[in-house]
Amino acid sequence: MTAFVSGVGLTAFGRQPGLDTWGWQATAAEAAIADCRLDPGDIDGLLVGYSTTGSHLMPANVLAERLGLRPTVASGMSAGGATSLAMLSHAAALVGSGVVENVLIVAGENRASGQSRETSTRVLAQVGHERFEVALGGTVPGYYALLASRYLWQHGLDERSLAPLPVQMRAHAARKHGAHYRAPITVADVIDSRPVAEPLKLLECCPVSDGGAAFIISSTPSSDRSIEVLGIGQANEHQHLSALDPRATGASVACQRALDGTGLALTDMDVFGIYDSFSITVAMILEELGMAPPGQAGAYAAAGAYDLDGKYPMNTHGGLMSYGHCGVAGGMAHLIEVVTQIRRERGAAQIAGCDLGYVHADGGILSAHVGVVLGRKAAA
Amino acid sequence: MRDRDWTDGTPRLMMSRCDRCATVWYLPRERCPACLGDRHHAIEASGIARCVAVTTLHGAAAAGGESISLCLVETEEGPLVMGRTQPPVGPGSAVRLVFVSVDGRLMPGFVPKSQ
Repeated sequence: MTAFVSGVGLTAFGRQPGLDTWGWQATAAEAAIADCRLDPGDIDGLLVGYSTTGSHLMPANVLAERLGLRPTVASGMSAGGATSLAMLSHAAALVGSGVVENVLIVAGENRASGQSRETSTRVLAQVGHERFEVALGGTVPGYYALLASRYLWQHGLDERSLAPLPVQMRAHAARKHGAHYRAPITVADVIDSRPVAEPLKLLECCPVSDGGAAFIISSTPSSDRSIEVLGIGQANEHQHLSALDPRATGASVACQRALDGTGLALTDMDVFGIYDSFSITVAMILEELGMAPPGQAGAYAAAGAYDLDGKYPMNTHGGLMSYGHCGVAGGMAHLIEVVTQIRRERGAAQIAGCDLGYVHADGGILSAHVGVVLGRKAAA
Repeated sequence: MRDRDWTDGTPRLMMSRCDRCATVWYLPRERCPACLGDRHHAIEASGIARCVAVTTLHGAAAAGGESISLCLVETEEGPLVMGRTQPPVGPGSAVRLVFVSVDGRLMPGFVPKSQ
């Protein structure tokens, strides 16, 4: 399978009233089309992530018409937060098998401006079981808070232990134009922020943002800025919290499947994009992937492991926690940041010698996992 | 067909046991998660469990707006169950099941076993 990320487009994320779902999608799509330098008529595939503010039975056809495209393949996709990379996986298979040549992948929502926080919370709570969990009053922060509660107890930690992770995300966002939140924060700021779902504090939870993102997957490079997709791995072991094995959520299975066949290890990667909806999310994924020992993701963050010059530079755009989260596009931002790093276009936040990257997205309650290895072919 | 349980207002916590490998699960499934067998029977949980996680939801995170506390407990039958709770229940607490009515809706709650 050979596939390339030939173009990317990422809007600013934040509270930005004025565009609806399709407006954000179109803005990001046009940016990606301009970036890939292809003629729009060369785009023969379109995949669109679900939107909670603009739910539609035919999301790809709606956007195709708006953009003037007539794609051979067009559909929407839903896998929670994993949708970003699940669409990439689907697109890579399509171009690899010759069905189409260039797939445009898009997501965008006015999630902050288009609905109340209560509505967002209620809609997203659906990842819990309707009869047995949502009926209790369960919500996404609540489910992740239960994961955090168990994690802290099992590792003998306290509610301050995960705080260095959002602090690192904010430090990265300070160096990224377009991030929703950029003012630096400290561990004390995190601990003092209001409890959302104990033990998780406000600053350990990603915000709700407006924004959009898009990228193009092509069978051949469109320019010397195209970055190769070297490996893709997926795993889907459960949906609901009570069916989750905290030591084996599926994250490491997806990662290993992505690395298989590349001849590479995670330690060969120069940059990472790891899904960080909450402090506990990224902590559990990091530890399951071996990027921190069990119980030590927070300590590793405090020691600088995920900083630009750390052992595992991660989410250098600020992640979901600080760049922002507008739905499916939230997870796409991690991929776009990793591509930008490998392209050596990250300016003052450039990681030296950046040739290889790993991106990981998860959906639901660490339920759906997709890992992608990207890089310059010469470096592999 | 699934036996009646708290989700339809019947004060019972029901689980399923695989006829082939005796694995027990809580959330309804067609097939056993361990052996994929499709024959199972209903059992009623004893209600004895150990709490492994607890949270209190505030503000918008609490559907409906009022602070509520949820727990995740490991039942003696094996499966994890989510329910309502209150302090002092926390991770490690030995708990037992009670049924509570919240806004006219029956829910499983977990209280200290000794209570």
